[in-house]
Amino acid sequence: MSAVRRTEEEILTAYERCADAVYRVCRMFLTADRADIMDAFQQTFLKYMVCTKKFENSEHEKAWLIVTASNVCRDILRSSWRKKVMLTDELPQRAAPSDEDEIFRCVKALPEKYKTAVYLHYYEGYSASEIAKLTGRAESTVYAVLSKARKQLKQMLTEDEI
Amino acid sequence: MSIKDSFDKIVMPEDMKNGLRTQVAKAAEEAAARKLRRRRALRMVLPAAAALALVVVAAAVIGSLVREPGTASAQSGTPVTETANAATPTVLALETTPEPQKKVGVLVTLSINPEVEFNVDEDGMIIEVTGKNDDGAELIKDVDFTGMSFENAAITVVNLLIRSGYITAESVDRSIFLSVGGEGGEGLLEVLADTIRSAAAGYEMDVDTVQTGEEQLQLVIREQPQEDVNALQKADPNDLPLYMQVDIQLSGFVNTPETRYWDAANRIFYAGVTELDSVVFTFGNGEQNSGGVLASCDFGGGNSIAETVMTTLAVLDENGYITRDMPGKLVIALHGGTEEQFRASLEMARLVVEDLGIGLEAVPGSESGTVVISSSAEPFTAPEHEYTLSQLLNTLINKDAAKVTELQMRILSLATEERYVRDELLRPRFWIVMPDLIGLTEEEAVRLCEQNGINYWIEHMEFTASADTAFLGRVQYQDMPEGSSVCTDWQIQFAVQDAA
Repeated sequence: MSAVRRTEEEILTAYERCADAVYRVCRMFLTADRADIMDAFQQTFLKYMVCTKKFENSEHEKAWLIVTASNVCRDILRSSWRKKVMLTDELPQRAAPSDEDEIFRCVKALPEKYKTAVYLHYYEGYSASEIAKLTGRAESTVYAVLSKARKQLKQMLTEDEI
Repeated sequence: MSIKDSFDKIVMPEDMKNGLRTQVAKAAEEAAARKLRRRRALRMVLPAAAALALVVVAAAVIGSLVREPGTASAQSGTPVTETANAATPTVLALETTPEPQKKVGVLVTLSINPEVEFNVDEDGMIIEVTGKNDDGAELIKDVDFTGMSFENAAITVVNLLIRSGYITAESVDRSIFLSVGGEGGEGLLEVLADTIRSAAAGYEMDVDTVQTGEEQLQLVIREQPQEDVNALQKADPNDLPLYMQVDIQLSGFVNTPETRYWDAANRIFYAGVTELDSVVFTFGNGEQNSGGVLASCDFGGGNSIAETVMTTLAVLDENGYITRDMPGKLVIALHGGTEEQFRASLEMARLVVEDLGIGLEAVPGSESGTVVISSSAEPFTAPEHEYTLSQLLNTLINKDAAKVTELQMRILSLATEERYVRDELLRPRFWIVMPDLIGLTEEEAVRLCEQNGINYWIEHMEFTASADTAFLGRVQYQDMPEGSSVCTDWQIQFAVQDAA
């Protein structure tokens, strides 16, 4: 493991402040498999502990954790997809957890590349230009992603539910 | 029902939250302990290695003496021979042990005559800074770069060049060569070039950049272009429409007899401390704007009139209200102040407009007075003051340390009957670049300030929830931003989080 660049206190403060947001992102990307979620969650905070980035403020720090959690989840999905394809032909069906309503399940069903932007925009309230900066994409791409995601969600739900 | 409501329902189970918190805390604690152990090990290994090296050198010397035929010790067969024989295998053993490799990251070199090399790791932190020639080694010999970011190390080295006289107001046409080797070094080169640009700006000089190769830059210090003052159109400012009026309302001021040089200098400079009531802007169209452009300035009680006027003018200037092609006259009216305060504000106005080559007119009134700044007034129609405050201030602006001292001495010998502190007067002053203290521990920030020759004072304060990245014992605020030009005479304030 690389050297820790932050104090224990800094890490725990970030944990208290951002744990829920990171958890929601993990839930949005991953199945309700507790082990996967915990793994993604831990990896996100490990990355935070060793990263040297200076954050402008707490919002910047939180946004960084959200984007990092998304990336970690994608990595996990890629590796687990390979693993599962190799090992089994059929995945056991799980019942949806009780805290997931229809909208959340639809968000989960969105393509991976849309999810981070949807979360940052609709839940955390970031503008497209802010999301562009956070995710290193062009602003126009973010607008396109949000628009496509919204369209897909509309198809899955009735319009007034969004 | 919205997306937000749906996400709100997703709450981390308490048992998972607590379990993961414990794991994260444990990982942080273990990693911190590993780091500490590595540091301790390094502290123990280094002296041990030095001692071992001494033994080896001594043994080798003795060994060579023993092996050399005809020497006294070899001939006499004293126990020295035994020692040497015993030492020889140690030498052999050490020779076969590979030397620890020094980590090499990106190497950035700055050469102006002293040549300094920065070895930077992939996280932008300094591994080592070395002098590549005698002057370079001499330049950095008292600085400990351990744990410093490349940005702060670059600022520190450039400030050392200024404080050692390698970059001065007379450095026009001087070249500085920068080069970089290693992946991802282009950004570092630009950081270093920017630091040099800021340093030159402190002495009102520009920097030309010449790309001499893919990984090389040549910076040449140049004079800032002068504006053509003669091109001004001259007209009577009274005929001009009102462009903007700034009304500054003053109330009483405090007089204290000074016994020390700087107190007296400040008294003269500021011409009396005032309590400021208000600053009101009136634009030509009659629209009133209280604060407005100056909203970010602190005009609380206790500010001196000179400071206030200076800040007012500086902000107006920065916001483009004072230009050579102003559509009308800009009036600064002082209400309720004294003649002395008016004069001080006049001097301040002068400072701001003189470089622009635009006109300034002073109209003393029954209640203090009015300063009129316009693009077409005759420059400086106000009479000189007996104590040549303007000379002093203009000289300060031009950073001519010798002249400033001479003028200060003259003024102060009048003001304080020679009760000044000579040492303080003669202390050299430099314009240096402010390092980044944010996020450093108090100890690191103090060390960085001292290494850069910066006067500082520390405030311990509790940053509230709005700044909840404020970690205990770390710097949260510095009153001069990173990269800005600061004078070694100034006192820079930084604030440390004092409560969790």
